[in-house]
Amino acid sequence: MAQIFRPSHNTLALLSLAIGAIAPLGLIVGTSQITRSSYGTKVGVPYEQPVPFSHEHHVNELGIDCRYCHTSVEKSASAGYPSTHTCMSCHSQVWTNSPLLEPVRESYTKNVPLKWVKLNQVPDFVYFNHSIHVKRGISCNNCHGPVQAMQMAYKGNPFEMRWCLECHRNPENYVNKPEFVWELYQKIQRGDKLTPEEASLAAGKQYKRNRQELAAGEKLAQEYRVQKKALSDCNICHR
Amino acid sequence: MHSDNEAQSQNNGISHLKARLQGKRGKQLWRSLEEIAGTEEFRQWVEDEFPNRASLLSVDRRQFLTLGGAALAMAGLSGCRIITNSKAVPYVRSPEDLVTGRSLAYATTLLRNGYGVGVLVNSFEGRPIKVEGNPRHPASLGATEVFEQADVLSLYDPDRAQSLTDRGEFSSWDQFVGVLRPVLREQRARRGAGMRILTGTVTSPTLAAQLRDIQTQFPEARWHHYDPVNNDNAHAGAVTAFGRPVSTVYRLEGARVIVSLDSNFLHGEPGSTRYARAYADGRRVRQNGGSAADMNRLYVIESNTTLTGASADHRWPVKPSEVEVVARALWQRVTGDSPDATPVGWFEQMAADLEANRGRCVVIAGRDASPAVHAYAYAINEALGNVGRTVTYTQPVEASSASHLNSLRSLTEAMNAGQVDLLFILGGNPVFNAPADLDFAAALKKVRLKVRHGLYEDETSLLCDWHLPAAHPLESWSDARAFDGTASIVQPLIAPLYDGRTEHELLAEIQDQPRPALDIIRDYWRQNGPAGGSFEMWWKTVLHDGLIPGSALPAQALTVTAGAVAGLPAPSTPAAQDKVFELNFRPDATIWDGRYANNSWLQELPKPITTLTWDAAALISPVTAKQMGVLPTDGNSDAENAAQISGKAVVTITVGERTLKMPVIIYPGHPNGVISVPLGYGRYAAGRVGTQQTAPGEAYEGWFDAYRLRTADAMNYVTGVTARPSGEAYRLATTQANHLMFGADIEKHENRDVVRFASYQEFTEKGGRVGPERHHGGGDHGDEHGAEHGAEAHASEHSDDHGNAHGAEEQGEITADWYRKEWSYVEKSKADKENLPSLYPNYSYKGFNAWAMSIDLTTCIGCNACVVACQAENNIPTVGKEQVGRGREMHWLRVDHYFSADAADPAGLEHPEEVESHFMPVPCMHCEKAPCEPVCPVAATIHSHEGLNQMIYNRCIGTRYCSNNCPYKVRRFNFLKWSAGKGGPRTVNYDLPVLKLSANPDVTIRGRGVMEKCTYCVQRINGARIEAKKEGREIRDGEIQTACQQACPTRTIIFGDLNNPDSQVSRLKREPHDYALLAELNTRPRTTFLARIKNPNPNIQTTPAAAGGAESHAG
Repeated sequence: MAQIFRPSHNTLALLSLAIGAIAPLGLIVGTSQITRSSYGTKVGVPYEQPVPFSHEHHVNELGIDCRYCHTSVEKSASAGYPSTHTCMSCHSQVWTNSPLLEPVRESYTKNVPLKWVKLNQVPDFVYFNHSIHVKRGISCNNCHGPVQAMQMAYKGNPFEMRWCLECHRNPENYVNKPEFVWELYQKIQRGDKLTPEEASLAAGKQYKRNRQELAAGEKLAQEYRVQKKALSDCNICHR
Repeated sequence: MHSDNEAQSQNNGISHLKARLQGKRGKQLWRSLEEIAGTEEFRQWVEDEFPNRASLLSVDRRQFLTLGGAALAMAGLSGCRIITNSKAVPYVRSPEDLVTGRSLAYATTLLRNGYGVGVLVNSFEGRPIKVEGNPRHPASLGATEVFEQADVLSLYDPDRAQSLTDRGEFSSWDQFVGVLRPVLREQRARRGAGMRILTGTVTSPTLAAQLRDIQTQFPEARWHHYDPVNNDNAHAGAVTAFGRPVSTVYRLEGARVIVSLDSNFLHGEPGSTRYARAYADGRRVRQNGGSAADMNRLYVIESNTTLTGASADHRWPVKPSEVEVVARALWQRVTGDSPDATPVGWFEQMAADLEANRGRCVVIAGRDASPAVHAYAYAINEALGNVGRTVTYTQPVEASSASHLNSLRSLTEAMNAGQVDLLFILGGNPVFNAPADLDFAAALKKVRLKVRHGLYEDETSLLCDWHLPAAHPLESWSDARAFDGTASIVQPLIAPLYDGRTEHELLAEIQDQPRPALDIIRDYWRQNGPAGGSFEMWWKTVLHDGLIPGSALPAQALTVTAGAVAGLPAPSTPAAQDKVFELNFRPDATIWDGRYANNSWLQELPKPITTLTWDAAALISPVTAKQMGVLPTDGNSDAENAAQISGKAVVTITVGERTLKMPVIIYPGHPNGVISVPLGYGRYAAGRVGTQQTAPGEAYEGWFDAYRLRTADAMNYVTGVTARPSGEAYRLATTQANHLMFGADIEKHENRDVVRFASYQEFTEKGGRVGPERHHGGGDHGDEHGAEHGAEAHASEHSDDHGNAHGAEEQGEITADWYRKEWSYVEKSKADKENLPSLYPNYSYKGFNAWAMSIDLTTCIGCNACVVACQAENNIPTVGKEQVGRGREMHWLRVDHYFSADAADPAGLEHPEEVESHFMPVPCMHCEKAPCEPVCPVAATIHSHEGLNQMIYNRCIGTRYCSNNCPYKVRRFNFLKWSAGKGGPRTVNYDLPVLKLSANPDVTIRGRGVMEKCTYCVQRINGARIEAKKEGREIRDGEIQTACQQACPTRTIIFGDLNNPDSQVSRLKREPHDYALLAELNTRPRTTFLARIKNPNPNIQTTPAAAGGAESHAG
């Protein structure tokens, strides 16, 4: 009777051992990579919205302030979505017959709200407050990416906890005067020369301050009485 | 007493305890009969991690391994998430003032038994989520009771009637009006001769005006009113005394001595929130920052066991029939006659105290006391010069002061006589709660067209033709008057969730002037409101402030008609007979007359004192239980047997022909010979939560429903009642033995001085120190006297220095003195405290807010408003009766109840009047050296820089080590997904869309397998911090109120920053009688307590010891 195992089986056996050792590792690394990719996080993926609203057009070309539509961003935890009425305050005058705006007009006349797909969400056990961040000069772009350049809105950052903590542990690298938030877009629109920090934010990238800038940031944080240690207390975001 | 029994139970039970306590004097602190009896069952309950484990799912070894393996394999998946993009739905036109993400408060009015209580309701993006008191409103002063707090849940109750029905078939308002119109036309022709309207208590001026208008349109129609809990007796008493009914308003602010004649004025009354506040304001004893003003003194003579009795400085339990005896004797005494004999031991001292405080005292007659008691009380207050000072009289607040009972009786008679063709029943639930002998249900069947307007399709709706869903007060435009007549507007916070309409709209339909409720209310006030000026301005101010200024009814100068009271016959008390009892009917402490039966929060709320949840129980004293034959005669002591039986045995109560089965709670301190039963249980068509069933679809026939025994001639109490054990068993779920801070060993309580209390006299004599003084040791009684005095002498010698000579004397033995020297917050300086060695890391709180809480045990009346407020604020789930029975209720804040009684007679067998009650609210202590923190393997509970002990749900893996290591037992575990109603069908299910609306969006809803506990309302702290930071300032003292603090009627709970020396909480913590619970564990809790100071009459000698802890009077 012929032998069941040939010499080549030795190689196969070794190989299968090796694969057996590597495969779980690969599985773990692979899945974690997939979840961290934009496929998993949806960062940079535009969504179909009821109206193809362009931030690029409204913010950059027309120079409309963020707060015109996101009215509660300085007052409340939530920045707020504009009511249909807000849209119609201009669009009853301009583009009144645009087919793209049909859902807006319909919402207004039928008194049925528009339903936008929410891009930026934190889990239910996380409590984020827009008003205090804006008050500390944290630019919209810090979290939301290059909003002024988005034709279709997409998610700018994955909103992972370590990413939040990066700022909560080093506030001196991020704090600014509150005006900084709004002036950035005006400067971009006017085509003014941007500081390196502004340029980086305009591109939707995090900026690493140099020593001098950090010292200024630290001073500002002190002025704001930012309690740096307490800023990463769990209860700041979880409750 | 039972000396031969004692010999047989040497090692167990009360005699054993007595042996242990031999030689001890003073008050013994304990929590339940089981505890003092030291029963085996109790020991098991305390020591077992899963009590009643047999009832839990049983899993064999193989199954366990299978499940365990699967759980392990799947564990990693719980970390995965699927990103679903929910929709953002902005407004089409944004409402004025609304800022998305922030709640707005609106002033409105909620009804407490028909009377208005002003509240502010927080509305988050259009949904009302939390009720707070309205500081401007006289019936609230910023606080609420349990009922107002729980009203939000009733609004969102999925069992509410959701559509208009015609004999059970869906219908519509238009169809209803189509049917009604011709009937009304016919009635109009007959001048309304066949038309009747039945309402509950009406205080709404607009509703009253509408009813009057209907009377003019239909002159022969009749309006009847009936509430099972009403002011008939007070009104009848006033008719005797003054010749006409009055409403009485008490001004307890000015009262030094308060005597309650069977009145539970601190709870459930239209004015009780106000009264509780005034009562507490007269008792805030402070050494620092303010003079120790004279405390008021409260005497309670009661036939039940109530909150007010528990708060009393002197309480005497009497039979209901004896209340009138006491009232008459007191009247005789203050008018100079020689009083008849009374059962009250300290009657003379009390009367002398009243006389010494003429014009600064008050006698309050209970709502359920007989009309004569009220008449005597009117006369007594007049004789004592209190009228116009502590008591004022006004016109009746109710729109009709006619007797509720007579009103219902005449309606029933008319129905039986076939005179009623058309009956409107607005609210109420007469089929369930009318006196049994009127047989309202049978009479109702003779009415041709019966229209019911109500929140629920309940027992009454089942027998009516039409059911019209009512709008909840939070959905309605209406108005109401408060206890003192102050009118306020009810304004809606939300459009009716279902097809609900207000009673005004229904009446407008009868008036043939159909219009929306808002127009009806505005039209009324346009005519009766502002004296001049713009109505619109007036209306806006009234809505904003939540009350109509100057609308309180004016005080009336009335004098008791000469001879009217003197002409009252001497009360006859039934001769004492063996095995014949008196039976009390009282509204339930949480579900009231049954109207809140479908409210899960109120059902699960431990009833004050008995801590019973979900059920009704007949309250009897151990002596009565013995007489009744509930206790076996097996040679064990009575107290021990009572412990075994209480909460399990069922008795059959017989009144004439009528019988009722009710489980019993054997309660020390309850008057002997009296059975007290709560009204409102035994509902058979209340909804998923309130209906009590043996099995699905099977009602408890003849159980729980006290209305079955209540007849028109005995609405408040009945004599000549017999009762015997039914032989059945029914297990009640009480929380008294849940979350015990010590093992089953009762002695530990005593050593640890859980509740500290002293008399006012001691407090002032000792410079406000209320510390552990109790002495521990053997020896017989005689020797102990000497030793105790010796120890006390030592204590006072050393009280100023911190030497520990005394501690050394008692080597190796843990004595009270040792505690005081070593650990007491009272004795130690702040520096000393901080230098105590500890295993736990040191934190520095410098530069941060150090949040802390102070709870004043003197003013806590145990009303539980804080518990429901916490539940509403923090989305705390209910778990159902079965799980409460396993000790799994989720309330973050519990109100512990302790008895204290003479060590020789702890169960009050001989002296029920000596059994005292102490309440202690226990939230998370937020220890600076928190034992829960280091044991968590995943750091899910960690310390914040502000000293909060944070609980991070998303990290928690449910090991429960923290709970195990918590000495205060304040942590609660989600054994199942309670928030999704997994506790059972009677619990709140936040997965139901309508109940989702009720959740506070600022607090995470917890899932299964995570630990939770009091957070000091961190969402409120964060909210205030962010606002302060935005404005560039510090958080102001008092800016943050925790939910429990805000609801508290007596302002017992104060929260604030310990690093601010001027904050209210800092000042309170500098009080000498501030102490930490279990301070000897060196957990350094941020929550501390102010010792309970009572104000007993120094002329009253209680039998074994003075009321103040171990301090004995001359031996």
